[in-house]
Amino acid sequence: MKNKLFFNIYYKNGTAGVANYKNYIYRKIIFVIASFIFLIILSGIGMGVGSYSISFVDVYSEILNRLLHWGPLTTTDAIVIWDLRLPRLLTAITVGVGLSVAGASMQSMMKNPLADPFTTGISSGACLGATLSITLGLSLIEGFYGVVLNAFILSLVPVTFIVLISQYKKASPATMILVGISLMFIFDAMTTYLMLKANPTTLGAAYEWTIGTLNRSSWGNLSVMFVVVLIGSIVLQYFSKSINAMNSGDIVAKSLGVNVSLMRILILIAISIVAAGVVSFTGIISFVGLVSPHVARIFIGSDNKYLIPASASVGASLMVFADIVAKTVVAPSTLPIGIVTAMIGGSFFLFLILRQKKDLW
Amino acid sequence: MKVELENLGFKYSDLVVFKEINLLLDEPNLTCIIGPNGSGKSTLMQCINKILIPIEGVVRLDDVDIKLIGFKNLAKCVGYVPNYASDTFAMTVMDTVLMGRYPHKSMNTTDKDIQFAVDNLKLLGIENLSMRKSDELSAGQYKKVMIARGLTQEPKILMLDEPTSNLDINHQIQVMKLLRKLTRDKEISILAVCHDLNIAARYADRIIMLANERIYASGTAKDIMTVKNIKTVYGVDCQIIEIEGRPYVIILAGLDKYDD
Repeated sequence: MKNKLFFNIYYKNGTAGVANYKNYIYRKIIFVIASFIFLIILSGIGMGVGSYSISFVDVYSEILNRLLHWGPLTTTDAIVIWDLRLPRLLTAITVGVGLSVAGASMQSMMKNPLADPFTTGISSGACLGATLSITLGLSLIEGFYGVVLNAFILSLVPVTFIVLISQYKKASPATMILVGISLMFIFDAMTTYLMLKANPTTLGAAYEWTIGTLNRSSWGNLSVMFVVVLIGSIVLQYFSKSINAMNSGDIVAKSLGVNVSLMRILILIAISIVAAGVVSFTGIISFVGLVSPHVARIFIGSDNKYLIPASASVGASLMVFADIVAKTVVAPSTLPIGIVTAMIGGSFFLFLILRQKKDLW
Repeated sequence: MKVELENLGFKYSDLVVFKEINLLLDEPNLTCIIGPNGSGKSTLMQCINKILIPIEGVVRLDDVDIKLIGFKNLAKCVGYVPNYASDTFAMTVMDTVLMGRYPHKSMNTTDKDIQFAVDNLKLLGIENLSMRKSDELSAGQYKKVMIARGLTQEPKILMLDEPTSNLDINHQIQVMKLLRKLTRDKEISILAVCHDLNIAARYADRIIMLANERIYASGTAKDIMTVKNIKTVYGVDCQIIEIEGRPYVIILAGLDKYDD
């Protein structure tokens, strides 16, 4: 009711009634649809930006034309869009969706506003995996996919550890987070040691990997990421009602019929696979998973059934916008997007916090 | 629905909370559990719907061991309103109350679900709060929201942990009258933890007094509210008078000199 920022879904004198409640739900749905339309517009602008500029109208007419008349790429616009800009854009969107959906679920499930997909040590595991592959050549397969596979496997180690501990010790969400943070420090120390011992060439490559970037985007990488994020997001959306119950605490959730310990493990696994699938390809893209759910929550409230898609949309928009900034501020070169997301996400989040008249949560 | 507790025992690490609890609730009536702090009132309730797992004994619902009943199916039969709960991220009152439909529905909320929640908000007299966020409510208002959520669960047995805490006297009476009415109209068995002996004595059909790790006494208000029982269990002197056929406890704790 007191939320007067941009979009107010609450009725000032709201009384109980089926029609009133349904109107309130429709307003949430409208927000989600509107935010996806905004994303489409932003994407058109984003694909036009770069050393070779393309207008917004040309971007979408080229895409539409190709979809209607599939064939070889003949024009420069078509080549730039289909071979370079579109995979990069869709990678940005997939990363934004994956990290935000995982962040929204993580915060409610863990009852912690500071939780994000990396709280369980996923990012540190991925870093260690990639660094092992780059500096020592320790990997199951060679080349870029060896780094990706290493990062993916190692990023799942912390969550496996947390799941085992929670089964053995019946750990609370706070304990799980503390275990994740402990593992994060251990993994970071090992990564730092490997970097100290690395030669300058491999050190540069390893360091570059730790800063999230979209420069490795390709249709092949995108397809793997897309499938992982899509499946993970559907699973988390399916569990949204259980996540809502867990937001009220374990006792309430259990009394409502949620098998809390099992559900927490399933959700944690889904979150971890989504986050690991993303960071294994892009490196660490910080802040998106933390900030997007909070921004979405300001607009549409805390019901995860709507918060999860809204966070996905906000996260994707944040990534696309960050990519536009990354491509323009130091043109003709490009900034790693991890730096931009942290700068923009942090500043925007601070602005929202300071604008609010009461606590956000 | 019949609830049967047989030789139930529970302990936290080495601290025994209760043991050898035997209890049968086979009629839809209002049963109040009273007893000093730490006597295991809340723990006992939480053992009845698998929030806590007892270390010994069995809980049966209609002769079925609850270990064999899934969480969702159990929640369809047994509701629990905790003494305290808080949402990390505040939701609207309607969203909170609609959570009570969780054991009954899948992803989609139907008009019937919404109407059911609305009816329960009206029953508690808080329909005007429906679109407020939970962090904008007083403790007493939120208590009523939790009770509405418990009722929305449509349980056959509803357990409430201190349902009148944080409520003013008028609302305490309203809530206790409502609970009594539900046992008669909807045939719900209600089990409520109460610290106010007079509220329990006035509205309960049956009172269970817990003390010293066991059920110390069980019966009607007249059976339980005796000078001897209250002295033994609470260590407090009192006088019992009768008002409208129900015992009324007057505590005789004297004031210290410096309070005068």
